[in-house]
Amino acid sequence: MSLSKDELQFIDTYLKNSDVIYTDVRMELIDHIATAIEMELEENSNETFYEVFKAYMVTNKKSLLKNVEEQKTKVRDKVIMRFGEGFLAKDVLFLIVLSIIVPGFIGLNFSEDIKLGINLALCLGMVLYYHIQFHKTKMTSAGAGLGVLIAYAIYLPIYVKNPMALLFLVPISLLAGRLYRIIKKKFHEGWLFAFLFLFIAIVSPLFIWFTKKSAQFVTENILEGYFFFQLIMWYVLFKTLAAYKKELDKKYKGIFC
Amino acid sequence: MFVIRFRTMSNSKLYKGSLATIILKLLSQQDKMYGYEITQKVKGLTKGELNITEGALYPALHKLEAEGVLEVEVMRVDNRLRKYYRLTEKGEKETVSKLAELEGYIKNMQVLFNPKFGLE
Repeated sequence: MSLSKDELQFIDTYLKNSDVIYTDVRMELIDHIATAIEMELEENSNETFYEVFKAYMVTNKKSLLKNVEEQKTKVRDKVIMRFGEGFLAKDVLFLIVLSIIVPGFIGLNFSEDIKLGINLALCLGMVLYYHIQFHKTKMTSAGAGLGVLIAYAIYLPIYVKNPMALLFLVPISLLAGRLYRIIKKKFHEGWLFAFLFLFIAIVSPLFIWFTKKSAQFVTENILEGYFFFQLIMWYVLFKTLAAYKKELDKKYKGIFC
Repeated sequence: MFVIRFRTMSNSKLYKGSLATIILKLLSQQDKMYGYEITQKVKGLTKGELNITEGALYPALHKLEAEGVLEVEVMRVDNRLRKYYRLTEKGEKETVSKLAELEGYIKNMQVLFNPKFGLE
């Protein structure tokens, strides 16, 4: 006896509410749970769907969700790893060499604050783009990976000016990731963007204060160099996400579209 | 606790390292299988002694898939989508070597624990 669409929908909603947000993981779990329930209903025809579902979850929920946690970490690590690997491609190495040579010839005629602003905007754009793209594929909300990127967005420009700032990178990454997950769990998706901007608004004055304080480390072309480095980061991010989405489409034949 | 459940014994560590081999062996006998089918097959063959939990099975399947040992096919069955796993060419070779490895292990265990039957 096959479960009805409503009953399958019920399982789907239950898993969504249990924070199983990835469509591919949920799809596999729905089939697993539904098959187990169908078998049980065939053996004991006097039981109802809801009774069997409840009994199944009492025994298996912990194990099911442990599986999801592992999957979540794997997807995130896979994409971040590929992003890192993306820098080793020939075209990217060529661009990195160009970004070292070109700034010396151009010399952008902006004030230092505007240059910092452009760099920060490029960083933030990257964070938002990463989040939106992953949300679209419904594979991951980027979670802690986003935290790392936020920390990068805030801290790398500072690091360029003062290498000591690197010491704070890990605690700030963890804090940003943790805050992001708390906000995501408690509020509507739209709040996330508000949170991001709020986070930046609070950190930006600190950022400007810190960069002015450590101005002795600044060299003339470093911000231009960083600007080109940002463009390369964007290029690698586009490439990584496009390749990842292509792979998903191939595997799931457009299920996520 | 999430690895493998047993009806009579609590020490599942002995079986933990063999989970991938169990999956590969089952898939070498059948063209393709889905998660629930694998758990039931193992349960059936061992007469309910060995019960692979979801928390152990799916991470193992995903790991084998990531290593290129298994490939995935998604099909629509009874109003829902079902993910089937099958061996790749690399997976077929891997199965042979994993089974040989396990046979060697069993043989050595027999020699150690049951010398009469173990020695040829």
